[in-house]
Amino acid sequence: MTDHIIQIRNLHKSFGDFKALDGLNLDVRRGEIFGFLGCNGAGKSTTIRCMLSLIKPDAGEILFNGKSTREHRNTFLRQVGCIIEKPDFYTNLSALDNLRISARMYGMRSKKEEILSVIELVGLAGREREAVKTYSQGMKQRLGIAQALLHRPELIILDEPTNGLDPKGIIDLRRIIQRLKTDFQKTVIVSSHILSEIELIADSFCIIDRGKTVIQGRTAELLSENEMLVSVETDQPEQMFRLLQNAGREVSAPASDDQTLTIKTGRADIPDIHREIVRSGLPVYGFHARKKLEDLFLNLTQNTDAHAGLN
Amino acid sequence: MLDLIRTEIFKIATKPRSYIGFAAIFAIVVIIQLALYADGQAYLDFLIQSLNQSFEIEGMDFNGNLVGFIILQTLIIQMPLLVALVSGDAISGEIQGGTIRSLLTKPVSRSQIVWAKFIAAELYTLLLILWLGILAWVVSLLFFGPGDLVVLKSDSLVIVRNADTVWRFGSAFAVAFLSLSVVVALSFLLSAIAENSIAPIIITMSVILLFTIIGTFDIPVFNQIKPFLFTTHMIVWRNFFDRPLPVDQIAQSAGIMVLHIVMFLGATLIYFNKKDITQ
Repeated sequence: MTDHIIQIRNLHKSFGDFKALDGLNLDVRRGEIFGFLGCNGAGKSTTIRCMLSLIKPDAGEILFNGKSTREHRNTFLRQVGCIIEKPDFYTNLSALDNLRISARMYGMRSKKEEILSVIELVGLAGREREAVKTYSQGMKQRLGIAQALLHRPELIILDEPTNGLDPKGIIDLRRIIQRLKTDFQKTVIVSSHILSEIELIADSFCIIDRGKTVIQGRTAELLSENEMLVSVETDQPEQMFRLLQNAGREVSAPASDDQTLTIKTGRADIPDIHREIVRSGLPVYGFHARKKLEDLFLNLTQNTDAHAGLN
Repeated sequence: MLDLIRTEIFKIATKPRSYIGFAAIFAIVVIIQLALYADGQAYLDFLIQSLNQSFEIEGMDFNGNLVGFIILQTLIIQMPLLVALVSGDAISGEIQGGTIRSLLTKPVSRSQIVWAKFIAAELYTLLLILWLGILAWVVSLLFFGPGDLVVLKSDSLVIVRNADTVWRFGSAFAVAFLSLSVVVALSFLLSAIAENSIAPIIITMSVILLFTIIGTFDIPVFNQIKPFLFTTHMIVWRNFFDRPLPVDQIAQSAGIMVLHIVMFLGATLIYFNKKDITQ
């Protein structure tokens, strides 16, 4: 069996004159959390919909375990659980009934205990008999994951799973995604335009722009820990700049009205920088270290709306 | 496939709108029955007053068969709307609710989904017709008693013997079911095209209204297209109360309606199989 669970080759799809996918290529390794990044309208959802046969591509090939998903559609769909944008349910029915319907569609005679165990896994135990219309967006998202897991698929696809979630919901979802990989050995593809989320959980990621793959690889390789950015917010930027420069730091000179300085450094040096600043007694209103995914993303995507798509 | 059909039946059964048809039929039938129970003879006298001017009519009584026929004639106009309420929502309701994405990412073909939904909608229509039959005819027989059925036509009067009414009513309900199946198939096609569940219902009713209006005008250009309009054949159930029975006309109408069902359902299958789900 191939190392790659998903391989996409030269995928094309147009809607009228608009090229949504323009020769997209993608490889997803088995057992990893794969981040699928792009601005709004870059082609993430179209790619996922092509994978799941919701949209028919004009050209190209999608392989699952080395076999064409078009030719082996049902075999593929039997091995996939997904949430596309937001999970939608028959809201007049309970979570239990919704999951029963889903199980029947897979030809599963799911026992109630099996359904209840998935409900428990996503933290909805005790609420399973309530109509879904009474659920919050976060609860629906959890139920969506329960539905995606019910038939024990090999691959989970989550398209913009954090849409509409509050910060707690986002944190809970992140934990669930990590558990899918560590506890259940699932491969998870997460599409998002929230870079910080992908940075936290993805083993590999891919950035697409205007329907084309711009970059793809392992997170650790693409985001070297030797290249991080530290932002320091102060109302005495000149003094702070001198302090850091004297300490031999690679710091950008502050603009006249800018109170934030940016230092390029390695991860190991961040505690030292922090210590130097504290010792100086200069006032600090913000101290934020980040890897360079955001910069990488902005450099690689030429889309003028890039900033609008970032959170 | 059986699991799919069962799922679709379950979905219909758990939607409140599915019960509107049953409630509406119950309300209308009971109101008509009560009104006829109170003033039935006066109504009958009014109906045959023109005949009384030329003939002396005796022994024409008010009975369950006549009440059943009157109700059927009145309600059959409303039935397409009640059917379209459910069938027009079958696919578009899934699109509007977003559940179509989940539905189409399951390991079943799109054609199987359309068939399962169509069969479930047909079962619903059958139940609705049975409900109408039980309330309009069986209950009327219990209340008003059996008797010969006198059917008044614009140019004639047909008397159906009581012993003959069972198979005639049975056949009329069967053909009425076929007529409503055309409505189911049409609203299914519109349901596959539309993105919301109101449009297929409104368009289905508009099409029926338009075709019915065309059918009522005696204009040469309309007369040429009338035989091809399904609405022309939807009233063929009345022919079961004719003597002699116009078998050829009934068979021809039934054939044209079956052809419409095949055409609408075929178009639905082709369209739905090609449809990109972009919502």
